[in-house]
Amino acid sequence: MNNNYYHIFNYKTINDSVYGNIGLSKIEVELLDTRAMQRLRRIRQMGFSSYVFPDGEHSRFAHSLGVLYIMGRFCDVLYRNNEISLEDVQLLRIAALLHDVGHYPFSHLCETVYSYIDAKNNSILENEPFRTISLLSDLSNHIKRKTVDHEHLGANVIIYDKQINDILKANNIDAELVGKIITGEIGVHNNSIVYAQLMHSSLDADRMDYLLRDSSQAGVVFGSVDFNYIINNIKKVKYQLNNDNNNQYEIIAINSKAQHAVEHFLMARYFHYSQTVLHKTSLAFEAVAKTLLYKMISEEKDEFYISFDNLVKSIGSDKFYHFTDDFMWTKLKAYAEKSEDKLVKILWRTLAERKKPIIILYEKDIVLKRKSKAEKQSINDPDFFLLKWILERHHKEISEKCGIDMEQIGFCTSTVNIESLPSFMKIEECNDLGEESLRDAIKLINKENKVSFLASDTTSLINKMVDYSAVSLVVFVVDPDQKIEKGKIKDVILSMIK
Amino acid sequence: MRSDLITIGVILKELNCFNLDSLSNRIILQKKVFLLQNLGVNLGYQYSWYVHGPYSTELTAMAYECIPLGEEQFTNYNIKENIKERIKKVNDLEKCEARKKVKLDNSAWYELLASYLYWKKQLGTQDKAVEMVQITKPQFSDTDIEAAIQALVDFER
Repeated sequence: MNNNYYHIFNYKTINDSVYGNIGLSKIEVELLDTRAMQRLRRIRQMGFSSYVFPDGEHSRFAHSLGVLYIMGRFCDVLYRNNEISLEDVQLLRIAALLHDVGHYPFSHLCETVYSYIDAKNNSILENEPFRTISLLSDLSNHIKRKTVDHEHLGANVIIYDKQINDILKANNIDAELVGKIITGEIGVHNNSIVYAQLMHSSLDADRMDYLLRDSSQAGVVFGSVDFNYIINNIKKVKYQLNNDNNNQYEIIAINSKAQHAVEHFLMARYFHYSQTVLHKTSLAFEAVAKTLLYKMISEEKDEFYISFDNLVKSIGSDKFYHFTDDFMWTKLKAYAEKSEDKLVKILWRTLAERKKPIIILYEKDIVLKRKSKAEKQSINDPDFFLLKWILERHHKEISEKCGIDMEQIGFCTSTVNIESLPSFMKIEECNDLGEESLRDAIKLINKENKVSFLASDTTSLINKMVDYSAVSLVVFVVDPDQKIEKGKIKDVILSMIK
Repeated sequence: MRSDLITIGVILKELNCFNLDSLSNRIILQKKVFLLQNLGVNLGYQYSWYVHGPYSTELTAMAYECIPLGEEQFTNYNIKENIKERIKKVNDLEKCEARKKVKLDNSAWYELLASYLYWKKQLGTQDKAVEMVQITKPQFSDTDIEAAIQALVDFER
């Protein structure tokens, strides 16, 4: 690597608890000093996971620097091998640094709330359907709309924040393209899939940093993976799909000698998710926070934070730069104190006083993925699915039998996959199922330059696991006075299963 | 049932897309929802360009969750009139006059319509969109593309 390259990206260095020194270019320093980036100091990375893992208090700001570092390392390898240009390196590093610039407060849970609000505001139905499950449960299990996620808000910040936009313009960097790399909207045309893979795939800079940083901060050991070896073995290769005789796609593949390091990374991520991110108590607290936030935001009329569209309009104003965890805490406190709604009071006390929701049931299983064609069927625990089915359809009946307000009972299901692909999906047989896989899935390249999906490589341990998902279901009750009889509710639910 | 599942279930039922059995059915499902969103029905799905044109990963995930529940689960809901009209417009694309001029099966027809519209939104003009369809979808003839443009004139009106 030439001297010039080193100097450009080491204009300044910042100390980091995970990687030591992180080098920054002059443009990156300027971007880091903008109000929009400084806002991220006041948004915690792990949301309510810190109610279970108390040291998980680090910020989105530190994580953004970490993603820049990992992206920088990816770029160093690709640039050294003449696989990407200096302009590509600058663009990718900036996208990495800015990837969370539009993050909502309280980590990802606020994103669900804004998605839920967007769905309500754009309802296709004449009347709101009668809700058969509690708001806690509906919000806990709501699948987020991509179009209002933090990445789309971030793409808007990059275009409408004058400070950021001026810096990018002065350095001839296409703000819209940076936004598209962040949202992942660039698809597979114009060879831009390389950008997309480094920001959005099973092995991207974002996932790598949060695994290393969050597990280290949470005090769990899952994150100790050999990221240096993985990074040093990435390669850009051209690949032509069988059913698409027109285009050659440039894809990122890993030298097959690093296969075991990648497998270790996937396993580490799996354990990190199942044990830390999706911890049953964190999920219950997050459900409480989502419900309280939704109730507050949906009752507001004129505030800048009532919808995604209003937030976009506020970019560039003081209000937006104060849209942080602390701001939302203050708003929630004022709302809860003023509200006469019994549920609001319960939710607020649960959250503010950390009154742990009562876990009634916690079920786990390993199940066969719907899209897989695995010959060996898993022996699924029928009680898991029956429990889910009963909770979805008999929520009210359970609450009546237990004498508890339905809105105090919540359930949350979660799924963790090792890789998104099924084992039968071979890269040479990509059809519609394979489209997203081309970007998301981990590709290996062997000594003979043959490219394959890690998931369909029969010598890989991952190949034996990808057809299965780990699912879990937690049933909880919010009662800050802790007077509710856990055993009675459990008995009612279990009697319905029998 | 969850409210997000109700929304997508009702939409897929009305679009006659309650089937994931074949590649053709999956392509039609993806493209019809894309066309519906382009008529201003905000369902929140992000589309990117993939091998068969605009494609949403999130929509695939939701469809796989919703369709196995059965069509009958989504029958007792009243859809807003303006949404119904737009759904009809998407469904009518397979029987419009322009469609009769080309020999394409339904999945190829919807793939072409959605691909053209995707590029038109991305690039701004008809000429650029046609050029990109010719590059990215060489299987479609100039007659096919002309028919798609004609069908979309009425569709977007």
